[in-house]
Formats: sequence, structure tokens, C-alpha cells
Amino acid sequence: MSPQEKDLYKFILIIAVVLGIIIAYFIFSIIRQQRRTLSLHQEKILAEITTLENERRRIASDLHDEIGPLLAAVKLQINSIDSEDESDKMLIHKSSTQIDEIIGKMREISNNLMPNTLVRKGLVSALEEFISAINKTSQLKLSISTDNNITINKEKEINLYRMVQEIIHNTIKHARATQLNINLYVKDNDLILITEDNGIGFNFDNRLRENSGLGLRNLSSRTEIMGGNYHFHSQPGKGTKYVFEIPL
Amino acid sequence: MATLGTIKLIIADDHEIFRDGLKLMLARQDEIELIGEADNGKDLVEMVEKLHPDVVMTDIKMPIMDGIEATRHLTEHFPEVGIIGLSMFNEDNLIIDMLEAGAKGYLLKNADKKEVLEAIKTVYQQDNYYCRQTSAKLAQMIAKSKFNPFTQKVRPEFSEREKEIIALICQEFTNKEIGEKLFLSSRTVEGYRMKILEKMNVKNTVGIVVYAMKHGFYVSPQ
Repeated sequence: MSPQEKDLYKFILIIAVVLGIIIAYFIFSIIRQQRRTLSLHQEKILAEITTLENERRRIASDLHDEIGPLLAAVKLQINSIDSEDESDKMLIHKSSTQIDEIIGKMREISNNLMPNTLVRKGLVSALEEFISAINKTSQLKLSISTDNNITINKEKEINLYRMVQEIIHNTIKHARATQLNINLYVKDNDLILITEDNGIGFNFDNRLRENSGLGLRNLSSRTEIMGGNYHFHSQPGKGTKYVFEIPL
Repeated sequence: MATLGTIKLIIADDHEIFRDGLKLMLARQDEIELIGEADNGKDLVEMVEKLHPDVVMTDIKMPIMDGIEATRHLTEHFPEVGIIGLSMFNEDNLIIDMLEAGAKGYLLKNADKKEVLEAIKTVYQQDNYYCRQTSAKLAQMIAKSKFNPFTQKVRPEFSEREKEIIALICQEFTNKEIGEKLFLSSRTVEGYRMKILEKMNVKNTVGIVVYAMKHGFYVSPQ
């Protein structure tokens, strides 16, 4: 090998190494960038959900602590009118009933925003309450079975509660099912939530692409921020099954 | 000074407008004299020590000292004072805490005049009062709680028919529905209901449910 050739090889080698380093650096940055985007994305979802739940809680407690007593006071004032006139009496009675209706509605709204049972007695009690309310009014029959001692933090409880709510609403709205079974139990270090209906099923990808996939997105976002996994089994005509695995 | 036979009352609530509403309503009642108002539990306790009321109506959620703690203190030091808890909606657990702390009754804040007066008079006579608007769920929670107002030694006897009707009342059936089930007129059922109320010494359906569950006449399905 002539010295020129040697130099050429050396040169090529150096170029190759430099190129290699540059390419490696690029790949490395792309991966890093992707990880950063993913964690940013998760932070964003987490922030959105946290803000949403905090706002709900605030509105619920404002209704309860501020507007409620005001309305009750108005009712007391109206009730203190002592009139012998029949039409006055009717009016007082009617107004009182209307105030009761407003308070009743407020109670409902406040409970939808942030169920009192969820805050005070935890996920299982809140789900049982929600399910028994649905069973009273809907064609869909719900059953739930749970482990007795599920201990998870409040944020996860709220997320799981919203997820079950979402699934129940989806089932009522789209599935044409008569039965929905909900299972909640602990396995190893995971909380497992399984729901199964006997409805008409759906095409998961189509649903996600349509606007109505908002509910499904909500399910996957909440699962994601809890660091969990999920899968759906649904085929037209064969019902829908959701499985979620959430680390405790 | 209170004249003989008037009920001396203190109310506690941190919403002035609500206290004003109550005050206005009670102002026209000769048999009830409002002797003090507090806007937190601590003031309430001090006021009771000074003024010795017969009945206290207190909000549950209040700043500085809440109604539950105040009730606990008052029950210990002034057991003769009848305490009524005042609750907004969605406070079932707080109502249970109030009753376990020693309150003799509770009212929802949107209770009407008749009921407020009935509650005050009932508690004044050392009986218990449950708000009419109590949900079935809350009635069951009360029945399952540590709260047990039934200390009378002589227990009334109930006939089989009465027991049957008690169980149906507990399942939230109306007089008419009970009548249809048992082939009785709804007026006959109403008669039974009055008799049951009297025997149990309670004022309304909620009282029947709590009594029935505490004494094993009715076991809730859950």
C-alpha cells in the first residue's frame, strides 16, 4: 500500500467515524426529543384533568356553601309571611315548593360535579350509589363486584370513578345492552377494572376517529396519567369488554 | 325574661342571612323565644353556658369550631339542652356525626316553617326529630349508626299486621300501595300508620324506619 493510499484510507476512516458520531447524536436527540414530548404530553393531560376536577370541586362547594343557605334563607322569609288571604297562601306555598325544586336541582348538579360519597367514603361506596341510581331509572341492568379493601389515593379514585361513569354512559347511549357487569379487584400490585356488556359492540378505530370518540379518549387519558394499561375487546354484535390495569 | 312555658332557643350559623331568615320566622311564634345567636361553635358554647337555653339549633359546618364538636361539648356539660343540627344537602355523613355527638334531631335548611316548629317542640320534650325530607339511604345510615335514641324499658308490642305494614313502610311504599298489597283501604293503612307512629313515639316515616331497623323489624337488603 502506497503512503497515499494509506492516507486515503485514514481519511475515509476518519470521515466514517465522524459521520457515525453525527448520526448517533441525531438518533439520540430524536429519541430524547420524543421522550420529552411524551412526558410533556402526559403532564399536559395531568394538568388538564387536575384543573377540571378542582374546578368541579370548587363549583360544587360554592353551590353548597354559598347559594344553598341563601336560598334556604329566602324560603324562611317567604314562610314567615302570615297571611290569611287564600291567594297569598297559595302563592307562598307555590314559591316555597319552587325553592325546594331549585335546591333539589342544585343538589343533583353538585353531586354530579363531585359526589359527596366519593369524597367521604371512597370509590366502592360511590360506585355502588351511582349504580343503584342508574338501576332505578334505566333499562340497562348494572351489577358490580369489588374487593372490599381497595386502598388507592384520592386522585386515582376520582379518575376511576369518572372512567366507570363514562363507560356506563357510553353503554346506555350506544351499546343497546341489557346488562353491564363491572368488576374491580386487586391483583398483585395492580388494580384491575373489567367491564363487560351484552350490547351490539362497536368498531374501536372508527369510534376513536369520529367525534364521539371523546369518551374513549377520556378513558385512555385517565388511564395514561395513572401509569396504567388498557385494552378493549369489541366486535359488532358481540358486546364490549374493557380491561384496565392500574398500578396501585 | 321568658314567660313560663316558652321555649328558649339559641341559633348558630355562620350565614347571617340564614339566621335572619330563621329569626324573622320565629319572631311571630309566642311559644318560642330566641335568646341568642352565634356564628361559630365556640361562641355557641359560651352562649349556652351564660344563657341556659332549652333548645339549640346549630349549623354543622362552621368556622373556628364546627357544630359536631360544639354538640359533643354541650351534650357532655349540658345534657338537658336539646340540640338540632341544621344541614344543607349532601351532608349525610355529617348528620350521622351530629347524631352520634348527641344531637336529638336534625333539619334540612330548606325545611318549612311547620317542620321547624315541630322539630323545636319535639326536641324540647327530649324526643328525637328526623327531618321529613330524609332519604331512604340516610334513614338506613342512621339506623346502622351508633346513634340509639331508644332507651325506653317497656317495649311496645306490635301485631303481625303492624309488623307487615312496618316492613312495607321501610321499603318506601305509600299508603295506597300498601293498601293494594294487603287488600286494605288506604285510610285503614293510614290508621295503622298513626298507631305505629304513636307506639314507636316517632313523628314521621323516617322515625319508623330508624326504629324498625334498630329493633330488627326490618333488615335492609344491602
